[in-house]
Amino acid sequence: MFASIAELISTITWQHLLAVFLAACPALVWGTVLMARNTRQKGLLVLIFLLGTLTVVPILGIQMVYFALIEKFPDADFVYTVKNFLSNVPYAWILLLYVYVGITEEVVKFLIVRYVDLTRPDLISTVNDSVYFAILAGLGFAFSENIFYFLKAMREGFAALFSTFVVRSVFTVCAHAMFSGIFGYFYGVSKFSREFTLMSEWRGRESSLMRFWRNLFQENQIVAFRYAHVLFGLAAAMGTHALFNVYLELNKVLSAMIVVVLLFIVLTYLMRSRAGRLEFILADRHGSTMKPEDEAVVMELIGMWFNEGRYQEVINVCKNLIRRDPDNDVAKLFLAKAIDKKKGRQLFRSIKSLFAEDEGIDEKTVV
Amino acid sequence: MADVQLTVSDLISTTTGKSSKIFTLVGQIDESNVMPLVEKIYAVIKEATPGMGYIFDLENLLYMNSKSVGYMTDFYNQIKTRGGNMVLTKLQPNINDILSVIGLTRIIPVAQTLEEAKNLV
Repeated sequence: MFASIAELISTITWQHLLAVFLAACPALVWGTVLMARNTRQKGLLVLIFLLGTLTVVPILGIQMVYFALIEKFPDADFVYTVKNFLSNVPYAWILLLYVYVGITEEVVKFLIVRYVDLTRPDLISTVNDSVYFAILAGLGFAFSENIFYFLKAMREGFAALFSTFVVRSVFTVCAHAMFSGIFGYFYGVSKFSREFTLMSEWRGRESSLMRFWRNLFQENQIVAFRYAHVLFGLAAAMGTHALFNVYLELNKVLSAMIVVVLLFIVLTYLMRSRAGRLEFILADRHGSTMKPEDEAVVMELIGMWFNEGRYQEVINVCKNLIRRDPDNDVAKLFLAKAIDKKKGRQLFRSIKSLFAEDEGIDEKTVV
Repeated sequence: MADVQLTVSDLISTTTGKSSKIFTLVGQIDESNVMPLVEKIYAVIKEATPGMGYIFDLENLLYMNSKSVGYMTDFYNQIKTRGGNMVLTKLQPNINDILSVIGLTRIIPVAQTLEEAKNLV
């Protein structure tokens, strides 16, 4: 064992060390930028990042197993068969390959977040926690991947290394973080499926899409909501990743950049929202000072006013209710969403007022 | 299916001469009966002279659903825009609890007795 580790160490050259150093730089910079608002222990964040670095192992492992298999059984090389089949269609093979790469990478990053949540469910107590963890897993993956790319570029010379370093540091690392972050958001929402589902119930609304998922999974609303959001998040991450890869392969760098910038804007908006930052308690610690049937009337009214867009009234009532029932996560969710909606409405009105005459808008509330 | 009865009576203050209406509600308000009840109250408010005072006597009202609580805020709005005044009286503890969480008891005066309500309206 020691002999093999010593042998392994003896094969490490300065190029390897330089590649590791270069790969660490963008991961550190992006990690600092994207984690600026995170208040979790640094040790935990480093651990998740390190887990993320290991995600290249299964991807490379699958490739190694596949190559070993086809060496023994050349007839089993279905990749070669597919490649041959698509040889007459321009770009088809390369597009398929990059879509496959995008999908497998996102699935592996998803497994990291899932693993962390399964082993320590208390670590994800807000939707944003999930986003942060997914981003770290993505940065870890990008770090490991960059080592391989930088080593390859070094063999081609300084110019190749420089351009690879700049492009991958600025774009690809951020892109990996964004793809994972989008998934992280949906995973976070799925984790609090009970609260989100109850919110929909008090509003008396169930989307036809959710009805479809419920029928498909043959599960109750909460479980169907969870499955649907995990799958949707994974599909969104895989889809955007595949699109990014395809644009790069077709040399449409500007389009690839637009994908990353749009994801950055969407993710920043989601993470800045009150609902994203809302800390779910997940346990009834204080109990309510209201009778359940009376609280139900209030919750129903909150749902009704929320539907009517009476956000200020929802905010006021939710604040009163939370004083009486501090562990009511659904009321907190209504409060957070109402604040987000109100801010969104104010922003919309501000933008609208730039292009229209003063309409003397004021929001009248009763309570 | 719950049942609710509404009685509307007139009141003229012997001291100020100001006229008011008393809505006495008995029973339970739920989804099945809320709309006819609300329409009756709206009709009374609409037909009454502006500046009229309204007392809601809820001593025997045992349950209010969310919709009826929502309409209560709307009655208050309607009455206020017509220059009137509204007072709630003799609330059951559960209804008082709901209305206080909604914040209505902070804006609509609540009286313990009918006499007190007459003075407030």
